[in-house]
Amino acid sequence: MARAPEETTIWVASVMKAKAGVIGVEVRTPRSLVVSRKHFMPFAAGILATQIVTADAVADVLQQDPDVDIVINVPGSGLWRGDGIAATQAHGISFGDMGDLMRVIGREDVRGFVRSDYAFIDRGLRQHSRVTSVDREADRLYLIHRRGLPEIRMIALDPYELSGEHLREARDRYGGFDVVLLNNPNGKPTTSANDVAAQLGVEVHKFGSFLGRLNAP
Amino acid sequence: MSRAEPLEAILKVVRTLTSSAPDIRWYGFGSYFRGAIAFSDIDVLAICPNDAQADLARYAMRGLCATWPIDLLIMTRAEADETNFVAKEECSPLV
Repeated sequence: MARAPEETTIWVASVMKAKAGVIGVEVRTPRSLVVSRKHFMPFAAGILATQIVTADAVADVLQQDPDVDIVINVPGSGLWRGDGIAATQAHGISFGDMGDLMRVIGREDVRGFVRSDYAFIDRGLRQHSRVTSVDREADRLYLIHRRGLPEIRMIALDPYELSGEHLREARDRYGGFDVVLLNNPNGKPTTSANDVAAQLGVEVHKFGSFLGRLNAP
Repeated sequence: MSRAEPLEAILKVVRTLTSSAPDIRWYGFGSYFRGAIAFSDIDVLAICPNDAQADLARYAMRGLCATWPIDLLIMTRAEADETNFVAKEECSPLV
């Protein structure tokens, strides 16, 4: 049963109130709340509960509350599409999920927040001599254009144990991809995950071997 | 309210599915199930005997995963044994 937007926002507020470093949380609109913090200035968060966050969804939040500093999407199975991410960037605000909302409590600059794993990927791609440009198709999905080589579509996953179901679910949610970047330094694929990867015709790489893969056809 | 609401919904789905698919084993792990007051997601593990049961587990949980910050991890029994995940993550049975 779908919940009204305000129900989700009220629920997020109740969770946030218990978080260390938070003095208070006020629901400002059905899709936004304001978090007062011990060590930094208050910030406003837009709250979404949708399967795919698009530019239109971000626009709806901003129409209700133009002063949000970050927009988050609550559902665990939700994803940010590229145009949704671009919409936040165009407004100079950040995006993320519930975990990211918790992370920004301890950051002075909420609008400039970028998840560390995404920032790591961005830097690696930006500095790679073979990469000419990158289209961020979704939060975890990157279309990488390469000098003198065909483009490659990469999905970044970060579980500690990469299971076969992780790969099947990623295919269902994000569509096709050529390469899986297991973006957890301690992560490793299970035997079944390697089997599923072979069935799907995709490669699984850690970060170092992924950078090397970008040089190969 | 914040803790109980998603847990009640999860247990309802798990209990219903367990009656028709008793071979799927359900666990909770992570900060939410360790009782942390503040949490960023709700980690649920389903250990399934085969791909068909894995599909069943995912289908049963799809509504909850589309509502709450549930991180649903589905593993085969072989994967659970290979990774020793239940013991390593101190997973608690849900039913």
